Amino acid sequence: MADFYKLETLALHAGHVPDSEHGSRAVPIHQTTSYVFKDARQAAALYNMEEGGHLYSRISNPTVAVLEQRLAAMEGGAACVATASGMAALHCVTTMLVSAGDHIVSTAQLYGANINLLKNTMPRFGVETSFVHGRDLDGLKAAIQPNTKFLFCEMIGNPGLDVLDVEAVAKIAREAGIPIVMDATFCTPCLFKPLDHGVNVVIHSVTKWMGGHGTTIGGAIIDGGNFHWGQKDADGNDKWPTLAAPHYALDGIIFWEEFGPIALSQRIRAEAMYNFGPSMSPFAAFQLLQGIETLPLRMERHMENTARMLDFLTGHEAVSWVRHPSLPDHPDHETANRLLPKGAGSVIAFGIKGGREAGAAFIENVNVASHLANVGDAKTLVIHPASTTHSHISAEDMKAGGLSDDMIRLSVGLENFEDLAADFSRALKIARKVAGDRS
Amino acid sequence: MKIGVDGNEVHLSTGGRTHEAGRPFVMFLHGSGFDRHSWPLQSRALAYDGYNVIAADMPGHGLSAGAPLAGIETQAEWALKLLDALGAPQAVLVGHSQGGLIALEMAKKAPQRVRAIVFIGSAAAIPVNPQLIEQAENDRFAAYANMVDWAYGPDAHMHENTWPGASHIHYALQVMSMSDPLALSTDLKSCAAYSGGEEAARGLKCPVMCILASQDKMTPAKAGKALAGLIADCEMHVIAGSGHTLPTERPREVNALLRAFLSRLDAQAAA
Ligand SMILES: Cc1ncc(COP(=O)(O)O)c(C=O)c1O
Repeated sequence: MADFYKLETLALHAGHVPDSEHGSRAVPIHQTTSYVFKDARQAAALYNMEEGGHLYSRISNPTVAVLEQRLAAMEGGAACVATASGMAALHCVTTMLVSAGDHIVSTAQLYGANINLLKNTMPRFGVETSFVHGRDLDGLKAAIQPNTKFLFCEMIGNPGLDVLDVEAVAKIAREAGIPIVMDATFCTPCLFKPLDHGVNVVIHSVTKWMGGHGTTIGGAIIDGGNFHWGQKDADGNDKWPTLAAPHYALDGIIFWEEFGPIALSQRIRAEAMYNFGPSMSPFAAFQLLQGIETLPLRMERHMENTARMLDFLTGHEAVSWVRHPSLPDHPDHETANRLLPKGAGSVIAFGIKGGREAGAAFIENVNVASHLANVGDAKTLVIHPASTTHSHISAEDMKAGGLSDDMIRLSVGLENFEDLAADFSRALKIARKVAGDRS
Repeated sequence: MKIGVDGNEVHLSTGGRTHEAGRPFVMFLHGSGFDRHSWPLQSRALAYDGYNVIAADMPGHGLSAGAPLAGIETQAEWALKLLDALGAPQAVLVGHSQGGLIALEMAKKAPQRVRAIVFIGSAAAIPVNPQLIEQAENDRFAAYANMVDWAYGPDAHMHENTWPGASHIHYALQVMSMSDPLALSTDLKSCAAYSGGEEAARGLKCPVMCILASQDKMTPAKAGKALAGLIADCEMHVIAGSGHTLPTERPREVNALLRAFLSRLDAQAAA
């Protein structure tokens, strides 16, 4: 039986072996823009992707590379490229896979900026996206066109918390011969490894649970290496010419021929990092690595507190509804049980009786929980999406994404649960008073 | 690029540079169940050094068509035909693992076509655990995992890599998954059945270099040293700490040795 290191070990060690000269056990921060070449031939070789190494930190950096290799290891990917943010990750993947005239199919249950990039930004560059509800498998299949270059989805939609039956969706994508790109931010590899379930490219906002301490913005693209980019379209042309046809530089290198399973990540480095430059800083990578070391431990505690919080909120007199995939009345309950046995994430959506005003009263009166625009911090966070994260989204798209006006999004942290419960009890009491005053 | 051999399309990397008349050829021969993606860190480097590089997928491997070829002798005949198809009168052969056996057999069949040989993580015989062969036939993905586990050394298992962001383990698993379902079992059976290595090694007249790895669990350094001992003109190097997959695990050391060896050959040819 093959014996590879397991997740907890990889989270602490992967990507870094102490160097023989200093033996630094922690990952050193290589705070440098550039690297002295050994000679002219080596300089040319680095530019020409003949050998590994670093030449300029917009393209790659030793500290960032440790993070990349750690994430590739933890997700089971052939390679990873870290980016300045989660949004940069989606932008880089999208622009490396599509060109004007191409098409994307996406589930509709997405983080607001993911929707905006595909729905409002990409059409200006001639790329259209069809949005289909993740549970509408026939609709997803029907939306795929000859010029569809990938299918995009989130495993657990932010903030509607729909869970995708990704195995069913992967079957559709496989039959259509297109790759699946999944934003798995809400799961982390501790809860779900998308590449084991038919996904081809995973992206993360590592800002969230991965970093886990609310200090650092970052993103990552994990190249599964499990997609055949050499396929032709009906006219016999390369379906993914950015990977299967000669590159504009590097003597017309064909990434799929030279790099095979890591073709996409190498194109991302050679074009997206070169020409857009959304690179992660070494200090950010260091901070994120500190977070990742304890991710498996933290996720356990996140899930434990989430289960207790669900008990607390369900049936609370000030709460009108509670949504989480682990609850029996969630439409994806069965899917979550099947695909996410370790837990369906530590974000809970709930409604407060009394609508917007009562919701505002709750949010303004919690003390332990923080009112802010993030999820996945070690600290408990709350927000009212309708007036904040999703305020740029039309009422129609809000509804399609499963959002309502009275919804509170709660990201359950690692505090002592008794303290959290006391904080929520007090703030909910005030919210109830506001609701009572209104009725 | 693609070229026909025996009516089947062969897929090969030339290291990103088109072959040019008059340049010396270097032919890379991959190991069991692998393909041209064993050599990304050698093929481009040597192509831009000025060699005509051939890093092919054997039939049924990677993107090459046809059924996997059974038997080291058959594979060697195929590789010689590939040299014909590419107009290469002679080449330096660089064989990893099973590729080393193919190189031995090519030299035996057509010594005039073999300018020199570099054996990497190879031996005169590569016995294979019958259970692994059975697993490759019945549960190939489990066999890939076992192969990859044994084929990489401790640093690669920690996902340390000279190529920023890449994982040896998961890259290799994907490379192996790309080939014909019968590729690995056919290769392993070919290795197990091959018994002509010692004789072929004793008969070698060309310059030879053996690069071995101290942590090689697939073809232990001991077996590689025994191979070196059979060869008249042979230099040997052991890279400490590396596992079997030297070309990607230790590309810097391997390339430095390759370059020094090739330069000496070129200097001898010029003298
Ligand atoms: C699911 C999801 N994807 C992507 C992003 C964007 O990540 P970042 O803020 O790191 O750009 C977020 C951030 O809120 C998110 O929740």
